[in-house]
Amino acid sequence: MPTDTLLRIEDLVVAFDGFRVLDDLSLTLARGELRFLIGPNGAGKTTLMDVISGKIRADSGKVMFDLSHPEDAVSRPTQVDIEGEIRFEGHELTRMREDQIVKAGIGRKFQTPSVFGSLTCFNNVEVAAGFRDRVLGFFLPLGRARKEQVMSALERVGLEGRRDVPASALSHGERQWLEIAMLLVQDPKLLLLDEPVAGMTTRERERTGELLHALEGSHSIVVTEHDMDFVRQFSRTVTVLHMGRVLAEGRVEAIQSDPRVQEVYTGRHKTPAGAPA
Amino acid sequence: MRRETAFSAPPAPLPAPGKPGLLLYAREAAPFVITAVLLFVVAPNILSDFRLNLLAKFLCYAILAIGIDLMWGYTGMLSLGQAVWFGLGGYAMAMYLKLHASGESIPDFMNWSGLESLPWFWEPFRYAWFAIPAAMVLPGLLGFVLGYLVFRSRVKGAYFSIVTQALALILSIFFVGQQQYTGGTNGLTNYTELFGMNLADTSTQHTLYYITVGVLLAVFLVATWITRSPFGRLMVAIRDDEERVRFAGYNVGFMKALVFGVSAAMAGLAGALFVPQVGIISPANLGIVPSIEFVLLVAVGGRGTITGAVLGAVLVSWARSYLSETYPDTWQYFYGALFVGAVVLFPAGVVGFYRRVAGEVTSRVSRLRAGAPAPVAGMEMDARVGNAD
Repeated sequence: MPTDTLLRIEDLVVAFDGFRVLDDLSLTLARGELRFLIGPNGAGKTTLMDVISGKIRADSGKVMFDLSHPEDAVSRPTQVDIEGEIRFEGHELTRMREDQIVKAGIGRKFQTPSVFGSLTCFNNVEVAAGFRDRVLGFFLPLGRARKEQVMSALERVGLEGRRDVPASALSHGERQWLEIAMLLVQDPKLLLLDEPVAGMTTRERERTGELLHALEGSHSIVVTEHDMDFVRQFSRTVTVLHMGRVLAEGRVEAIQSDPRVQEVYTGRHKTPAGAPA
Repeated sequence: MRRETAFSAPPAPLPAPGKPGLLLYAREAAPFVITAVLLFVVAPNILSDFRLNLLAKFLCYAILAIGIDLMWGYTGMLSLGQAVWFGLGGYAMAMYLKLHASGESIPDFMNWSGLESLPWFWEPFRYAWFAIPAAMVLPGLLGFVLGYLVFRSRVKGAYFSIVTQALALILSIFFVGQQQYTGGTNGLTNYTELFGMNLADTSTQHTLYYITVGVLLAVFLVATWITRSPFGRLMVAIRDDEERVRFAGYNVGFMKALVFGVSAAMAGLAGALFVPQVGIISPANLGIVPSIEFVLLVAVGGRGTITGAVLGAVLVSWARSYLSETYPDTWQYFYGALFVGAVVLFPAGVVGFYRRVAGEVTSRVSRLRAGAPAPVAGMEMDARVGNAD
């Protein structure tokens, strides 16, 4: 597994009305790494993803990245000086619009699956696939290459048989997959998956876990998850967030036996499912 | 007419799912072909000159309604100020006609208001090559720029509608106030000729009717092409979940402004065609009331389908003129009741109602054929949605 850093967050602070949702949070993510983010409700997991994807702005802090792939820099916006809060491959994310962050290579799946209900699965992925196209290209019929690209993304999540079904007709789990397919077709460097297995059957969870393992290495992935069975089964490194800080980090076994983690969960009367009480 | 090419894109966002095939293309092209035949061949032969002129006016509304449908039905932006663009297009055309009618002297109303020379911004409207494209380009550009500013600050939904409504109000008041430049409340009227054709002649009105039909069909095709292209899918995606489109890497504000601009350009074009056939444009044409009536055209016809917009525009305008002729004193009550009834009874519009009925018939037929119950596509969909959560 590559060891160079893709995303480095330092002393990130986000406060809502004076309350620090993220409190001097620091985190490092390696290229190609699969990272699980757990923690009780309100620990700041979703807020962290919101900051990275540009949905909310950080109050202070720093996230740096070493531009280790200089050939990428050509097709990217020029590097901004290191003053900002989040740096991703030389981008200062905090000054960028959401869509520019996506173009820089960060894909986000939301906690509640958001897909385009009146479009078919194919068209959902097709919309995602065109994110780098020029405006005029949108008025021409789809090329063969694009169609294949869309189909292969659907195949990766096992939705190829549902290509012409409107997304509103999908089950909750299928919507999750469709949204993941919409990320995959964009081939982001970093995937932010907010509770990807919520509402999935056991079988669907397994498939999703296998998909995560297939993606690691070629993509960096951050997954937030409440389901401890899933975390135990598929996680590599787990980061526990609590009160906007990193509480613990390590393999899942070590995390679960960590007394601080146990206290956080039991102290809040919120034992993760299946965790040793 | 070879129209199949326009429909050769993958399945449309909204119509019932189905494999694209010759039959489907024929079915999709049918509304267009029927409209073309009705308007080009049937209408001129059965309608009196007066009625044909009225129909031409309705068709101008249809052009504008297509624009509204692109914005509202497909992209989910409800503009309550579309008469602004219609009016600007109309005024651009009217300025040209007025200058032409005035010959060497300045337009009559300017004389009355004490102006002695033509204002500089009237000058370019002496030329048809400027005035006619300007009727489309000016509203289009203004719509795009204004839209971009509004959408960039993430103004959407009801707030956007209110902004557009305010715009209609401001512009109509402004046009009334600037009497020396715009003709004030009276607007611009008393035109004589267009391209050497006397506007009072029946033959001129016939020619204008055919031009209107031609433009409507062209706009119909352009709109169909847009909605069937990947951009059409993007529009529907923005309607469904704007945030998701943003996080899929799109500058949503730009895309929405683009649709707004196209829609405004279509309204301007409609206004430009309207003026020589009706003979007058005044601030009453660009205020709030016409703006809301325009939206209702699409609501009655069925938003989200181009055919629905055209159908709604013609049906509602026809009903309006029929009611006002038959019940000169009380027609507005009937007219209002028509809208309330349409919105309450047919929330998906005429086309939506037709689809529901047609869908039920098809499913019953297929059930009879198969000898087993076969659920309607729509119902099957709803059932699954219910299961999802």
